[in-house]
Order: sequence, then C-alpha cells, then structure tokens
Amino acid sequence: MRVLRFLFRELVIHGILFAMIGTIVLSSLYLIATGEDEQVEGRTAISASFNENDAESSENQSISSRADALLSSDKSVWERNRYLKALKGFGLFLTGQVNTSRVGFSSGAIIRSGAAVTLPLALIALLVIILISVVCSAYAVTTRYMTLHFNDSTSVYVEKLINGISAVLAAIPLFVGLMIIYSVAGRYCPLPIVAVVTVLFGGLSWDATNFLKTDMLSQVGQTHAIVFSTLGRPLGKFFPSQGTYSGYIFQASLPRYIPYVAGKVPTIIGSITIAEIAFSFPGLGKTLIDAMKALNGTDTLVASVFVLLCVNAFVSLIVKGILFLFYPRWYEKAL
Amino acid sequence: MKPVEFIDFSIHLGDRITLKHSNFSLDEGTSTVIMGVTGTGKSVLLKSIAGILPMNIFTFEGSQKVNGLDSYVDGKKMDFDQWTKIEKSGLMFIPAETAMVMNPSLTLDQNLALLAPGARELIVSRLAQYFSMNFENYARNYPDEVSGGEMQRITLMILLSRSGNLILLDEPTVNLDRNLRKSFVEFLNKEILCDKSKTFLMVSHDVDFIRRLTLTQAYILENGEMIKLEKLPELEGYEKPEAKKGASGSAIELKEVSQSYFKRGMFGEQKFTAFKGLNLQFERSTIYGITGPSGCGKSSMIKALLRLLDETGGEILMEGNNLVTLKPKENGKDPAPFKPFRKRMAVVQQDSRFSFFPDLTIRKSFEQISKAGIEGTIEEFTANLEKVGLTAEHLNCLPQALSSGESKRVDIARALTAKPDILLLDEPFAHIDFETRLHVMKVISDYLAEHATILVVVTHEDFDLRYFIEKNYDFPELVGITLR
Amino acid sequence: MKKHSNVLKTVLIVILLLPLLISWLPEKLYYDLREEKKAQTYPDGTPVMIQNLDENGDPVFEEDGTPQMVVSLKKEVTVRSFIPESLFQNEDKSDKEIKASYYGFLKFMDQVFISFRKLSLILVSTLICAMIFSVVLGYLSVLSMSAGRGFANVLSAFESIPSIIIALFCYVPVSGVLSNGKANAASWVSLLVFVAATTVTVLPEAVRSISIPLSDLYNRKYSVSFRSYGFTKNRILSVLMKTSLMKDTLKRVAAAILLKTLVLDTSFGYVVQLGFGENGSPQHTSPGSLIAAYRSAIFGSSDYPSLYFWIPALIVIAISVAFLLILGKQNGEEA
Repeated sequence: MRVLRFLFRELVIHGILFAMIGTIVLSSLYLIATGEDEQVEGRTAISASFNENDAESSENQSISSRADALLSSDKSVWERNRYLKALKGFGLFLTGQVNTSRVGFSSGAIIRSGAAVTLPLALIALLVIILISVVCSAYAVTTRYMTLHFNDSTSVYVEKLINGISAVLAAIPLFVGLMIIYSVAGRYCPLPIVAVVTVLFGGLSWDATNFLKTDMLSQVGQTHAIVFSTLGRPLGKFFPSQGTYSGYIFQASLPRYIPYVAGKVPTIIGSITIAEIAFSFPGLGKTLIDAMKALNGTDTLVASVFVLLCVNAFVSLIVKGILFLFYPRWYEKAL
Repeated sequence: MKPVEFIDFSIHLGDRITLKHSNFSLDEGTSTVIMGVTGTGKSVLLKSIAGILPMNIFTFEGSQKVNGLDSYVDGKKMDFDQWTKIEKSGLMFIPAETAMVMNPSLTLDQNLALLAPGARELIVSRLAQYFSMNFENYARNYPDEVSGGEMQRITLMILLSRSGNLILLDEPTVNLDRNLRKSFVEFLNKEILCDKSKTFLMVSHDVDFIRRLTLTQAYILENGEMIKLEKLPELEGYEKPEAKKGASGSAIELKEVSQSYFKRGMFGEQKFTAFKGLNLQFERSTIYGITGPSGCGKSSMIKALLRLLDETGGEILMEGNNLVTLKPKENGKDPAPFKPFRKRMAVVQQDSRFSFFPDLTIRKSFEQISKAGIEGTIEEFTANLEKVGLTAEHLNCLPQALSSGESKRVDIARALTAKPDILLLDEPFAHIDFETRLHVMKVISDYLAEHATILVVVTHEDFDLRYFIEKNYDFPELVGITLR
Repeated sequence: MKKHSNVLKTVLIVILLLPLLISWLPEKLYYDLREEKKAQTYPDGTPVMIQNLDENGDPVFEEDGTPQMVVSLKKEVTVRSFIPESLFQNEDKSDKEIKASYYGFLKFMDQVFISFRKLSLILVSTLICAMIFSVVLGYLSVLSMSAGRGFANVLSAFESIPSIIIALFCYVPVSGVLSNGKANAASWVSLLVFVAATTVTVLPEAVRSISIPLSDLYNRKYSVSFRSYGFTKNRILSVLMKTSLMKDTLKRVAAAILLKTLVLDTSFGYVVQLGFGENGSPQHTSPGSLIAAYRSAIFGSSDYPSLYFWIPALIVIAISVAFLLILGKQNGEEA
C-alpha cells in the first residue's frame, strides 16, 4: 500500500507529469520568445510569391485575401500554428515515431543516443560524489574523535591538506577545469574520467562533502555518539562501514543526507550537460544546443528537453527510492 | 583483580585540580556511591574511568587501571587499541541524559541490538516486571516517537542489562520523575546491587535516593579529596514557609479540555492527541503543582491555558467567560475580547533566556514589554529583582550574559512585576540551588498573600513538592494516561 | 592568533577581488589605442591624390565626367600603454607581426576589462534582486504556514529543473532581440535575463536558509513568552530578524548568492559562446564567453598565445576563491 503510494507520487507526479508540464512550459517560453522570427519567415515567403504574381492579379484581388489564400493553400491547421506544430511533434515523439520532416535528421534516434550518454554520466557522477563525500567525512570524523579523545592529531594535517586541495579545485569553475583537461587529454576522454572531473571542479563534491561533514561532526559531541564510543567498536577511518564508529555516525546523518543528494541531482545533470558541450560528447546537452541553433529545430528541442527532464526524474527516483526502502519514516518527514 | 584502581591519580581541569593524588580503588562485587556538591568533579572522575573526557581540556597525572588493564600511565591516556580492550572487558557507562542515548535514526529495536546484543529477552522481561511496559509496543518506533518518560525507562533498562562487570552510573536522578524513581530503586536493589559479579559505582547528590539503595560504601568528593563516609548525611531540616492565604473561590475551571495537534505523515496530516478529558478547578491563592513524566502533556496544558494553541477542545471558564471560544485559533494575533485576559496572564517558561529580547539589555527589554501594555514600572521591577537576590546591575546585562539561575530569577521578577491574575510556572526552579530556591519560593508566597492570584507550577522535583506546592495533581492520572 | 588570521583573510579577499574594481577604471588610464586617418604625403609635402571609389568599388565621377580625386588617407595607429611593446619582441617574427600581436593583445585586454565590468554589474544586480526576494519570501513563509508551504512547493519545482535549462531558455529572448539587430537593447535584455534566471536558481536554497532558522527561533524559542506579552507574530518576527543570528544568516546567504551567480554567469556565457559562436550573444560580455572564445589558446597549435586563456581564467578563479573565503569566514564565525 505504501509502496504504491510512493510509486504514484514519485514516478507519476514528480516524474512523468512534471517532465511533461516542464517541457510544455519551457517550450512555450521558447516559442513565445522566438515568435518574431517565424513571422518574418512567413512574411518573406508571402511577399516573394506575391511579387511573382504582381503584374496580373494586383488589380483583381486585395493583398490580404491573397496572403490568406497562399497561407491556407497547402498547410493544415497543425502545420500553420507553431504551437500546435510543436505539440504534434511532441506527440509523435511520445508515440515513438520518428520525425521525418527534416532530411537526414532523426530526432528520435539522436535523443535516444543522447540519453545513452547523459544517463550513465549522471549515474557515475552521482556515485563519485557519494563516494568522495562519504570517505572524506569518515576521515574527518575519525580525526576529530582521535584528537578529542586521544590527543592524536597526526591526521589533522592530512585533513587540512585534503581540505585545501578540494577548496582550490572547487574554486576553479567547471568549464575552466574542463578546458584544461580537454587540452591535456584530448577529445577521446573516457566516460568515467569525464564524470570524475565534472564532480571535482566547480564545487559539486565540495558542497556535498561539506554538508555531510558538518552533519557528522555535529554528532560527535552528542550523548549517543559518546555512549557508542564506550562499546569498544572499531574506528572505521576511511570508510564508514557497519559497526564502526564512523559508520554509526554516518547512519545517524543518513536521513538528512539522502534527501540532500536527491536535491543535488538537477545540479549534477546541469554540470554534466556543460561537460558534454565542452567535450563535444553526443549527449543531450549538445542536442539541446543544436536544436536551439537550428531554425526548424522545435521538434528536437521539445523532445530533448523532455528527455532531459526524464533523465532528471529517473535519477531522482533512484535516490528517493533508496531513502524510501531504508528509512520510510524519514522519507515521510522529508516530504 | 580490582575493577578500578587509581595510583596517585590526579585530574586537572585547566588550572583547577578536581582530583588530587588519589589512591582510590574498588573491590569486586561492591556497590559505591560518590557524593558531593554540584561542580566538585564527581562526574569528571566517573568519565575518566569511562575514558570519554575531552583531552584538550583535561590533563592527568599518575596512573589508573580498569579491570586490570592500564588505562592511564604517568598522566598519558593509553592508545585506541588499549582502550578497545578495556571497553570490551566489561566497562559499562550510563550517562545522566538518558533520553539522548539512542541513535535518532534507528528504531528502538535496532538501538537495542547495537547497545546490548543478546540481552533482548532479559530486557523485555525486566521492563514488564519493574516498569510495567511492553517493549514490543515500542520496538519499531523511532526515538522521537516515544515520550521522554518512556524513553528513559527503556534506555535505563537496556544499558543496565548489558553484559559487563563494571557499571558506571552518572547522576541517575537528575531527570527521573517520581513514579520512575520508586520502581528504579526497586530494580537496582533487586537486580543490580545484589549481583556480586558486578561492581557498581554511582555518582549522585540526591541523598533521598541514595538512602533507599543497599550500598556497600559511600564516599564524598570535597576539594579534590575522596573521603570515605561512615554513615550517610541527613537531610537538613528545611522549614516550609507559611503560605499566607488571600481570597478564595473557584477562579479557573477546566471542563473536558483536550488538546490535539497535526503532524504531517505518510497519508497527509494526521491528528495526534496530547491529552483529553482534563477536568480541573483552580482556586485563587493556592499553590498548585502539576507533576508527571516528561512528554505527558503538561507543557501543552500550559500553552492551552495561555491560548497559544489551535485545536483545543472543551471549556476553560474564567469569570463566566469561556476562553476557548474567545480565542479558538492561534494565528499570531489576539482578538479584542480576549485581550484583557491576555494582560492578566503571565508565564515563566522553561528556558528563561527566551523571555527577553536577544540583543537588548534587560532594562530595554522591559521597556518594550511595558509598551505592549503589560503593567509594572521599572522601579517595581528593580524592587522585585532585589527580593529574589539580584541587584539593579542585572538590568544592564544582555540575556546571554546571565547564568541560567540568574536569568530564571530575572524572569520570575519580571512576571511578578506584571501583577498577573494567572501565573504559570513551567519548571521554574530547575537551575536554582536549594538555598536560593527557598528564598524565591518565599517571594512568590508573599506575592500570593497580597494578590489573589491563580498559581500553577509544573515541576517534577520532590523538593518543590515538599516545600512549596500546596495541592498537587499527577497529570497522567488526571487525563487517564497509562503506559503501553 | 585568530584575529591575525581574520585580518589576513580579509586582506586576501580584497586583493582577490581587485580585478573587479580595476575593470571600472577608465580605459585611458592603462592604454590608449587610437586609430587615426592621416593624409598620406609625398616626401616634399604635397598630398597624395587617388581616385575616389564608392561602396561597390566603382569609381566616382564629377559632373563633367572626370574621375573624382581625393586625398589618400592612411590608417595610423598610435598607442600609449603601460604594457611595453618589448614583451612581444621575437627574433623570428617581423616587425609587422610583432606590432599586430601587440595591438591584438591590447584589444584583447580591452575585452577582458569590459567583460569583468559586466560581471560586476551582474553580481551586484543579482545580489540585490535575489536578497530582496529571499528575505521577503522567507519572512512570509514563517508568518503564514500555508503561504510557506505554497512557496516551498513552487520553489522545489524550480529546483528540480537543471539550472542550465532555465538559463538557456531565458537566453532565447536575447537572441531574438539580437537577430533584429538592436545590439544595445540586446545588452540590457541579456542583463535582465541573467538576473532573472539566476534569481530563480538561487531562490530555493536562500529562502530555505532564511525561513528555517527564523521558524526555529520563533516556534521553539521565543513564541511562548513573547506572545504572552501580547506581541503579534508580525512584531515578534521583525524583532527576530534583527537578531545577530539572523544577521549572520543573511550574510551567509549573500555570500552564497554571489558565489552561485559567478558560477552561473560564467558557465552560461561559456555554453552560449561554445554553442552559438560569435553570433550568440552581445559579444564576449561574460568572462565565460571570453574564455570560450579563446579556448583554443591552450591547445598548443593556435593563433593566440595561451595568455589569452589564462588571464581571464585566473581572474575568475581568484574571484571565486574570494567568495569561497567569505563563505568560509561566515561559517567559521558561527561554528
């Protein structure tokens, strides 16, 4: 029963419905903003054909009826109105049909291949962020514990060093870092490296690590952590595994960490798209830009926006699903 | 092998020495209590044996052994591996704040498995026998879903049922309510103290509580010295001050009052009931006490009386007016018919820091409060301050500069200056030592003699009940709550 | 000791932010590139006369049929700058090439200054706009529970869209105005659009950062006593907003907004430049687009020296480090 309600809420409402509404809203914005262009197009077409028939028919017919006749002659309602045209393209895409109105341009295929690049990149980036933040936080927490309880500050310097390096990496904007890597590694950079680089530069992993670290460090002084430390369990210096001190503290922070990661997913997708554009990967980011450049690209645009939002929803779904599985009560609270 | 052995051991807290060159030791199977005034360092001693003192504040001299293993050698704490061995050898530490022991993101069952693996059956049977609680009803709940009193009982039982031979109990009575105290004493006597395989070391200042336990020996920690006591000290005879009586007559009547609140859950908002079916009558010039374990709804009752909550059911009658209909909802403002009643109420809440403007001096706060229409002049306020043992200098302090005892007294003085008809005190003496407490109680009684006020005090300390409260109600009994 | 490090940090921040201030100095201060059309003369002083040509290159004739003769004008470039030409001395290159690269560099520096001027404008305007919205929305969220929940829902919907999509779609009106040829209006439209897009992106986090501490202060701490004095909720909240805790929170929110604006503006400029090329935006108005335009500079085999990439990149990194330091200082002060 609960599972059904969860699935309904996340998959249907936050997933599909939201992706569709988002696509429609964004595409309408786009169409409204580019309205002038198409009108200019139309007018030049009309005036061009009008000039041809100039000599004969100017005496007999008024200009507007001429224009009307030209406009209505060979295009149906769906083709004439740009909004409906976009909607039609969207509908075709949803039903899996390929848009054949442009020669050599199969929007469906492009988008499908785009999702095959963007989605794995996003998932890898997500995993990398989680790994980095978890390991760094475990190290920070155990360092604090050892300093506090055993006056053992050997790892404090290592931690400060790691902090410094990640701060510098975070200060370098993403695209600058990408450019540097591109100049070094060239075009054919493997996917995982791209994901790692995207996460390191520009502060994605920095934010996530800070969040988790602050949360976990605030737990160190609390009574329940102190009581746990008298139980004689291992420390868990580098990875907060089950049964270790850092694992215990990590568990106490999880209910806040998982919703945080779920909220970071759109930012991850945004950074991934920038990385795709920088490396000219055939992903959704590049498709989006190409679609915006092309004049008749409304179909591709609408479809690629939709797919991007779907990828977004899918990754969010995975994260929220994990939260729901392990901590259904915390999922409720985070609503 | 002695479970605890000090070899010329000293503890330094910055410049202070809390323990001087002690050679204290415990024999196996004994039960000991260390007494002393608050702040002498009893808890610090206990925590040094448990190994949880922060090393950047405390320094040590000498050596210490726990269960035969070296824990401190020549002033240096041993390393992590050594302490792991010590902890695994049977060390058990129970802190004073038992309500905070559990991991908030694990269920009670998971916490139990972590803290006392293998002892589940024992814990369940003990809970049923001594506290009349069925653990299965709580097993799948999270710590914040369980009320404070229930949490304390479960935690104490779990921690005390672990397998180990050295039990360190830190100030167990600080948060105990009266009902729990009786059963807890019984449990300790029957199961823990007579178990000769366990060594028991407790720190407490509550003489009443200590008297009822069967202990082997008692020590007192004074000026860094551990002195063995021949017999337990008697409680000095305090005299209950004569409470002068003023006018009487039923002033507030609560009829079938209930309080619910909404909590967001899986299926939208759910209604939870704090309490229902409350019937009470308060007369003027009588000091009423409301007792009960934490979380049973006492504070909710105060807030309901102050009309600061929605969803209050029933009637609160005062001079023929039903306060609930005069102000049914809390949306930030008081409706005009209710305003005169608002002016006649005063409350002293648990944390007195939050009674004054955070960035203004007390004097300026008082000016602002007076502007809101509360009665009382600054001279009366100063006079009241002096009555409770403070000076006019305290008027120029910021709230955060005052200690908890001082801010509490300033708050009480402020409340009395307003000359309220209804005075509600929520744990008013929590941070005040016994001497000052009597002083403040007298001030309040004197006030009561001059003004026919309705006075309600929420407390759980025996001392208050014995020397201040005239008529006491046990809140769970009033509303018919029983433990699951 | 702590005071010393605080002073050091402040000095460092000011140094790192200097480029933003320097960019506002009038150009004449650092270099002066003047192109003059001077009349060409023969050695004896008489002016050189050549045939006058119209736009198409055809000769212009006087009324009597003779070709029109005008004075020949030569473009002469005079330059005054504190950057010495000697930096560009290279034995392999001819005098002309050296002069060309020197002037090219000066023109490039001009672009750098313009772009950072624009950046500072965007930073300030976004900060003002976003702070106003965040404070108002945060305050209202606590004042009224239902309003708060409504805002939270809308804002979390915004948060779910990758920011790059919001920015790209908001960019579209800019391209619309550009394609109509009004370059000046396009600059203003793009400024407006950037500010709007960035405000929408930073709002969810900022509103949360304000409403959560405020609500905690009110509901858990001050409401009982202060309401019992007869103060209205509005009055209590306005008092709480002036507490030192809330003031620190506001400073932190401001620092976070600045950082996010920097990241968004530069990333977005980069993407637009990369995707749409020179026709994409009012030319090089963001440091990001500047870096993207000269990205080939670090690829080794290009026309531009690698300085063209590193100068704007390092300045952006410096500003980013400054903002991170400010944010860290705020966090450190409250910790």
